[in-house]
Amino acid sequence: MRLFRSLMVVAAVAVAVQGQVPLSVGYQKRLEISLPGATAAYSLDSSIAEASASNGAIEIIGKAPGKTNIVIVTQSGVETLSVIVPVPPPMLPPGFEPPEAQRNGESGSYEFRYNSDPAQITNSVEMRRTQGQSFERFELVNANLFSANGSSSAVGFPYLSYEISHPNRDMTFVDQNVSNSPFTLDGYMVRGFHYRQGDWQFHGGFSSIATFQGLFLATDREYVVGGSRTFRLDSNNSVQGNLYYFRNPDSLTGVSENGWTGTMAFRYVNKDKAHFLTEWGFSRGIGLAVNGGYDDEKTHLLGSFRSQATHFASLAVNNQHGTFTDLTVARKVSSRLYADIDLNQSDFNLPILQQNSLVGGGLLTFKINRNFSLTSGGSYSSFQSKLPVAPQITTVNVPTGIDFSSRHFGSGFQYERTTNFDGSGGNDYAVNLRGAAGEFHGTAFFRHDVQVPTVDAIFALVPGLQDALDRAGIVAATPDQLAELLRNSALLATLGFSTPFTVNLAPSRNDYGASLTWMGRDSSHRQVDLSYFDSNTDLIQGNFRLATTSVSYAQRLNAANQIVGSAALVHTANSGIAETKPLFSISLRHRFYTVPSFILPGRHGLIEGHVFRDDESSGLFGPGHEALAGVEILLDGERVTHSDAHGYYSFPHVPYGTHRVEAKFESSDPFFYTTDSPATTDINSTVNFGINFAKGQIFGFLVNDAGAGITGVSVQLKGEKFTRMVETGGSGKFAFPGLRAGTYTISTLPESYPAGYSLLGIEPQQVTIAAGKPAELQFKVNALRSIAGKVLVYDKTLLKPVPVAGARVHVQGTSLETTTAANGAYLFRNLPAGTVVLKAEYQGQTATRTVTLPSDPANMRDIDLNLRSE
Amino acid sequence: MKLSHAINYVALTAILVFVSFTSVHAQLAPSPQPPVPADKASLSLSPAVIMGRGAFGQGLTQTLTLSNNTGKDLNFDLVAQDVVVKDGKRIYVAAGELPDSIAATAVFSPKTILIKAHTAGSVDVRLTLPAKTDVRAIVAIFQGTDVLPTSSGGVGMTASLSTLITFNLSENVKLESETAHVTPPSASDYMLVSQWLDNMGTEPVLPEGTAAVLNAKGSLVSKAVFKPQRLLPGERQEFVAAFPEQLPSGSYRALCSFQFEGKTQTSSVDFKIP
Repeated sequence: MRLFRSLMVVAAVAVAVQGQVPLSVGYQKRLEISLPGATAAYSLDSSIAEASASNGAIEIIGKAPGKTNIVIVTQSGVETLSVIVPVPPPMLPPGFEPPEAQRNGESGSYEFRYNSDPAQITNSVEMRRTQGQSFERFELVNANLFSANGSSSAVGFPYLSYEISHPNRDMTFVDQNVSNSPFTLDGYMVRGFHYRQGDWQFHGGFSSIATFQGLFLATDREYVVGGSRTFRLDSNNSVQGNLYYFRNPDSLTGVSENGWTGTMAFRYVNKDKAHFLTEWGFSRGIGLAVNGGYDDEKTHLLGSFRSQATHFASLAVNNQHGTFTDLTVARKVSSRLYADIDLNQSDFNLPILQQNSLVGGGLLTFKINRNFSLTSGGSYSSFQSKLPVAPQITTVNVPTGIDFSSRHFGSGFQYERTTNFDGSGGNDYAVNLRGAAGEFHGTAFFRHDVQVPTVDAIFALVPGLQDALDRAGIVAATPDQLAELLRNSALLATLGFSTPFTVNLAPSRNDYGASLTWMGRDSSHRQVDLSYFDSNTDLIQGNFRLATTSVSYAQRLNAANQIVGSAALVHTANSGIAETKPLFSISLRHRFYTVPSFILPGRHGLIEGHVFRDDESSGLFGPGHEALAGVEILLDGERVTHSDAHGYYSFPHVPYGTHRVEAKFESSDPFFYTTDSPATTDINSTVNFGINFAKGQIFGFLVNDAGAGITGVSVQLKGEKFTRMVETGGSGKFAFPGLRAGTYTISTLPESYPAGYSLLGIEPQQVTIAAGKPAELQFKVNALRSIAGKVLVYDKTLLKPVPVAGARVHVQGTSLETTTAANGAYLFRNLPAGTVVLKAEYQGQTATRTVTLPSDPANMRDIDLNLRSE
Repeated sequence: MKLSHAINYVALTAILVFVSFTSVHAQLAPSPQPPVPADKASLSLSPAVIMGRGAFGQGLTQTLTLSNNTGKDLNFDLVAQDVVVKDGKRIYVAAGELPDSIAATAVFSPKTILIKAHTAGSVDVRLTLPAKTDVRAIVAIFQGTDVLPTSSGGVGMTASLSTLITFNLSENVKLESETAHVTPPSASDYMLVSQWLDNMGTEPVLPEGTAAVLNAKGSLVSKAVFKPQRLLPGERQEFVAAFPEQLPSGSYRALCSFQFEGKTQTSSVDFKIP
């Protein structure tokens, strides 16, 4: 055991090191793992887990719930190990309900259904109120019931149930569909009283309804009373002891015995991956039942076995005595190879029905590439009936096929060699086509079989049941479908609704058909189905043909209502006697989001509010706000209403508790909610939804030619209907937020400029902004900078500098040049910011002077240049 | 969009203004509150950082609480700004000036708040992530409107505090590390192991890291934690871990390991202690 644990840990480490699955280390637990060559280890978050390593042994300690990584240093490099420390399970006092399990809500549905043949009207109502892990449920089905003598009751209630359920206790009045165990109650509808308290449960009442192909069939009452106790061994395993008493009507004497049945069942359940049950039953004989299933990424397995003695006490209708086995295995053997195995065995041992059937087969599918696949395999089927007497049919089939499948088109061809043990046989083949384009998809097929096992003539007493059985018999095209039909319909013979089915070989059968489906992509989920099916079977004596043409239409009328209607024309021709019959059906389904108090009493209230345009993003609804009509509002993700012309919405009759209300506003313009959506609220409260459209913004800068911002200048924005004015800020920035999409004219006002700027040529700018988008612009004006002064030369006679007329003055590095006036003055205008060097020249004498001009406007005077001889 | 023109609100991020309120108390008399020692007067905003995770189009509502542990009632305006990284530096852009601005969707409730002395005030901010946006962070700013006199009676200051809210909206998380660097210990300083990390993805990252020092045999001799630093998309930071231990002379290897958004990254550098 210890070695096994070590191996598991090493395997877990190998997987975790590859970065696939975090290694789980218990909270405040120590985990030792081995990684050869590890010399050091450390955690990247020591508050969650701590790690150390020595001589290939790594120790990890979970310190707090969370996820981190362990760095492991080995001789060959560094590995990173993802580690998770799970949250320890909460220590809850008995009866305490964890908050996440608390759900509250009401739901329900009503469905009306009408079938033309046999004429049957069905009304179904289901109401449910959930409070945390507890719920109450009311269900009612009203329909006319058919009896074995061919009569039909005008009003019947095949199902009426009121259930009160708590985590540790359930109580159901009148009807419950009970699935306890194979030898007690296995999917039976029992009318009476049902109670569960912890590991104990009790059921008592009678069963008087059977169903076939949607028809409700009245049967004589079968009584049952019993109870069971479950002993839980651990979280996966449990043992259940059952003791039941059954009493059947005289009409079913011989089908099943009255008396006590005691059973012991062992159950194993591993979440969704595996489940297994085995039950030993003791009554007037012994019974054994086994069923189970297993699912993982590669394997899907489902199987069952049941065998009980002839006089084993049980209910008669659904619990057919005999031996029955079912097995379905689908396995992905490799990335290209798939295997399917099916086994279906029945051994009926009833007073009027003694039949054996065994159907088994295997099929291998090999995917050649993405589009093509090959199939091959083999199957064996055997049908034997002692009562009524019929010849044994034993057939071996060897199918081979190829299939092409792409995104929009697919087709397949299958050849099958059929060999019967009576020496007959032949070649079967089938071809199918399928395609999809846009909202349409269609299929077509043709199948030719020879020496094919087929359901022999059936006779039913109930009008319409005959057609249903004929169709079911024809549709059962393969031996395993046939075997399943035999088993499912055995109860009809037992109850006297039909003669027992037998199987015979038909010399040949041709089936073909086509279907076309259109599915709308809008919210109404409209769907139209057209189909045609034609089957022509050559019998040993005569010929049987069945052709059906059908059309069906389904549409979601609104969030709460759905309608489905269908019409079909069924044509049958049996050895020259032809009949054509129309069939209609329609169903209406309505969803409820609240439950009327007279059905399930409870406290209710109102949730209401307004949807409004909130341009100021205040989040508060007031009288002046513009209403937004037609906005979809969802309550708890299911119940839907829309705001009216005043933006008002309401949800009346909301059950007590906390609810989620959400506005689903839609617009092509970008918008955002100014209030919470979804919002959480209690009943009798107001939830308003504010919606603001994302506004555009125009912003920019007013700068001079040196790039310096100009402050305090008025900037005007003109729209179609309004004008706004702002002042430039410290960096020359201005902004006009909250603008709708459109074109605007922006201008600066000349009179607001400070002195020193050239106001010539300041043009307005036009800007177009999209909804919710910003736009930036820049105004640039020239700052006026000038330098003025005189060119002087020292007059040795006058002993002072005197102005020089006609001296040449220029700005070095530029083309700017001037000549001094009579008073020796010069002037340079429109100078850029920065440092300039002035140079004056006159009759071999020069003068230079460096001057720095600021970025702001500057009028620099008295910049005199004194000439000197070079 | 010239982000270089955007106002750099360095002073707005996580500013905690500590001022001396000696003169303030004099102005606020009579005050019902006990005098606050000057060195304990403070403003604090909680939470300082919010890391949001969601999808485009989703909404987020968060409550921000400002504690005024000063002796003066203070008024604040609530504003939001987008935070983006330009040339490796965070810049703060006024709401709506960036295409698909998140800050422009900020709805504060209330929009202004008066927080009395020695009390706390809360504001809800609701944000809606646009259907597409490159912005991954905003700051929600409590912009003070009252001037706080300094202890010296000099120029008054306003106090502004902000909460940084980051958003992870995709799986595009990518960090690039540069070569780790070891600064040997000196008589006056610890040994330092440092590494620059660049956020090359589109999502904010908060790397947590550990620096480990191995001896020549590969055994762990010391480890230290890198101080966590948040990296916005395009941002680059140096992560430094200090080792107080005095390592004996010899050859060593330093490993710098970081974990972020479910990923890990380790680099190494060999060094010698003379």
